[in-house]
Amino acid sequence: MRVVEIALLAVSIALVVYFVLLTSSYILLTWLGWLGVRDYVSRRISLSYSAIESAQSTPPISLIVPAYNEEPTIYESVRGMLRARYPRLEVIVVNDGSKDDTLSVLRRRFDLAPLSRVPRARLPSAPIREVLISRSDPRLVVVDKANGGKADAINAGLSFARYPLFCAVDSDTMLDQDALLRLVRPFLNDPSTVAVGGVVRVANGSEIADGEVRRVATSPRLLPNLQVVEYLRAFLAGRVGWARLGSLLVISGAFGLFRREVVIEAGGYDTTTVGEDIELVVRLHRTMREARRPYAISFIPDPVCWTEAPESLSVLSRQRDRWQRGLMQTMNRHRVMIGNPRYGVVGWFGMPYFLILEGLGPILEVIGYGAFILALALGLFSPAWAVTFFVLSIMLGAFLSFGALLIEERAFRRYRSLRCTRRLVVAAIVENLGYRQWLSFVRARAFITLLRGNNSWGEMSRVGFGAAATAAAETAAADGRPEDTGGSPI
Amino acid sequence: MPLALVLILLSAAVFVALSALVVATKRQRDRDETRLAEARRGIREAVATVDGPRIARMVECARSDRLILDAILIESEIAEDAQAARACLRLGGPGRVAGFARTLASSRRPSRRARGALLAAAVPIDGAEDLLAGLLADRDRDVCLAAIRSLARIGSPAAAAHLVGALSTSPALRDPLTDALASPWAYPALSGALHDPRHASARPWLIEASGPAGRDRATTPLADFLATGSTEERIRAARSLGRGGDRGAAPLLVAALEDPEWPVRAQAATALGAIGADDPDTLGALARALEDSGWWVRANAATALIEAGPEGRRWLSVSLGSRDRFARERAREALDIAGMAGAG
Repeated sequence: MRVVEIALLAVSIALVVYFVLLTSSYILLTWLGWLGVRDYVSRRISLSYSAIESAQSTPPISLIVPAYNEEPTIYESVRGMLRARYPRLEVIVVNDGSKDDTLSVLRRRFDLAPLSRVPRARLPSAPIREVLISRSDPRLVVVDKANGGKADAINAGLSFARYPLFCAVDSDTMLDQDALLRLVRPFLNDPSTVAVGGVVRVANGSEIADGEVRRVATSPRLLPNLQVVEYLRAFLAGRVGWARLGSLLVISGAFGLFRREVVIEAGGYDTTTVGEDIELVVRLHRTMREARRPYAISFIPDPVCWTEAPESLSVLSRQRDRWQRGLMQTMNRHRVMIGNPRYGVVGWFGMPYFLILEGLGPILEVIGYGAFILALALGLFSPAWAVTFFVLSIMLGAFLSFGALLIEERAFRRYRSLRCTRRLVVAAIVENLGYRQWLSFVRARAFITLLRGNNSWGEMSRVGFGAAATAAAETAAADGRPEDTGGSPI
Repeated sequence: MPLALVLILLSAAVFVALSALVVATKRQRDRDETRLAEARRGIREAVATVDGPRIARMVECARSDRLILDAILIESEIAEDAQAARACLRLGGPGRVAGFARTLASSRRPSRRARGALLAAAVPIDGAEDLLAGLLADRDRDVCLAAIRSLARIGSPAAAAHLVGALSTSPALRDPLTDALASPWAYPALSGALHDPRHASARPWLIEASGPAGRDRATTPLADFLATGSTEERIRAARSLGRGGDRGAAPLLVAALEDPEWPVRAQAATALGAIGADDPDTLGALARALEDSGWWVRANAATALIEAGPEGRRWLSVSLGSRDRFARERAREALDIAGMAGAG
């Protein structure tokens, strides 16, 4: 019994230490996020996006859109992307073996015709069936391929992308019209920039038409609003803060701008993980630092991509389960970086933080709750102390949630009506009264899913680039002259 | 448990206070936006009626009210009648505005220095070029960019001289400086600096800006660089000739398709498409460039042939029968894009 008591006490103390570390980190990130956003907003008057739009030096962008079974929304989404305000843009939709009429919709609505497109790179992917171009808007290219998963689809799109920068967006997301103009700025300011992340916001409840968010609003339902607050905290506070520390490990797979050459050198997206977005960014940090090349990975709080958040707990649970597994897979894959000063602040701070507090933290939290309750029942703690700890942790969490709302109201003000603000305030309170605890449970359960070897985005076998690639390689060898695909005069 | 009750009540009070803070912040920002909109409307009305005293009052208020300052800057740059706004802002008293702009430009905060840079061109004020030249060397990039924009808006010989000088002293700003100088008002300064040894390090960027700035006046000096310059100079000379739009440069660019460096050949192909050259010699050279060893040379040559219209497409159709696989692929792709895919 004594041993049990000591064990319970130790776990409870560990839980307290975990909360202190986590909350301290979040407070630091929120403060850094506030500084970053304030600095960005104060400069807005002097930033000229029309100058970026008209400048010759603005690099062109390939927008890569992996699509799987998106028949209901694909036309509006792609139309919205083609309306993006950017001087030189190509949109590459990769139909990843959809079982519905996604491709038929694209063929019909965009007047697609066969295109003998010459690929610029040879990233392995599932076989390519056909490449098509839109007669009505030649900026749109559609790559039809066998199913291989999202990462595989992006790699296929990368192989056909022409431009030095690419932006991977989900097919069910909507970009603000000038999002790309804002997102490209770090590349103009610092040529060593290899990746930039932008904000993903929740579109639930907003008025959407023609693939655009016309009027921003919140949902009348609580669950999407909880995610709004969560996203605001994660993006406006968290990612801005991480970027200021030089240790941004996550650029959302729904919205990020990358330097194409660097990603291809690093091997493209990893198709064997469910967290291909975080894995890529961590790998970029690793390869650049191992090569001792100067680089920058930054985050802009202003450009916005809108996405529909899950409206049911079961779907949300699956999403967060996948994100957690992706995080743990990435930590495992790049474990050599953890605590390793060779990788700079990413190695000695970023990776340990994500491993301990974000990766293993939910497990400790769930175990800790149980141990805490048991310890309380055994009389190891006084109820007053337990209530004190509980209330303090909720209040600290509330400070962080409200901090994110304040950043939003001071800086960006997307939610115009008071009703929306009230809904978000309610969500900020409720978030700390069960929602975050439930999420911790879901994330802890993901660890078990991972240990069972469940990789629900599939272990897709790579079969190379298909017959076309094989023939090209053979012919090139016969010609005695390799095709020079390197470099860009742009 | 009285302590527990106290804590619960305390946390409830904290929630209420934080909620009130968020709502109060929202209301304050709503008021700020309303004031900004009113200030902008006021400026537009004052400009429309050329109401000097009203403008003078607004300029005076701008010293202490950031929203009115921002309204002035917005209306003088992006409003429909920005030029009229700038002319009317002189009525605010150039001396007062000059002092204000200088105060802003010497602030410790980069956002205020950037505002000072924009204000110096919004009015404009005497000695604005020298003030902005100082900001070109600012440690904050956004301040430098604001200064470049303002000098480009002023568009005087002195402004051009400062921008040209910055090409040599500020390597990190060369791209935005080149964009700013690529305008006719800057050509005298550019042509004077092209062969000036003091600007040797910036010569490639001077070359790049000269074409669009000078148009056909720039063809002769650019031809020299295209023939005898360094690799970087030849690349930019080819690009510049394309942006200059002078069809008379076609023979020079055709010759550049034989350059030993692939980026030069690639830029020459793009430039030929940009100037719309469609004579048989040019099109034949572009068709031969489809067999080039460089990926971008082939791609740009195919694009240039498309841009040349029906004659260019005819050459592409001929290339469908080329013995060179890469040329066939390029031609097929280009014709597909042009909507005229044929058997190959």
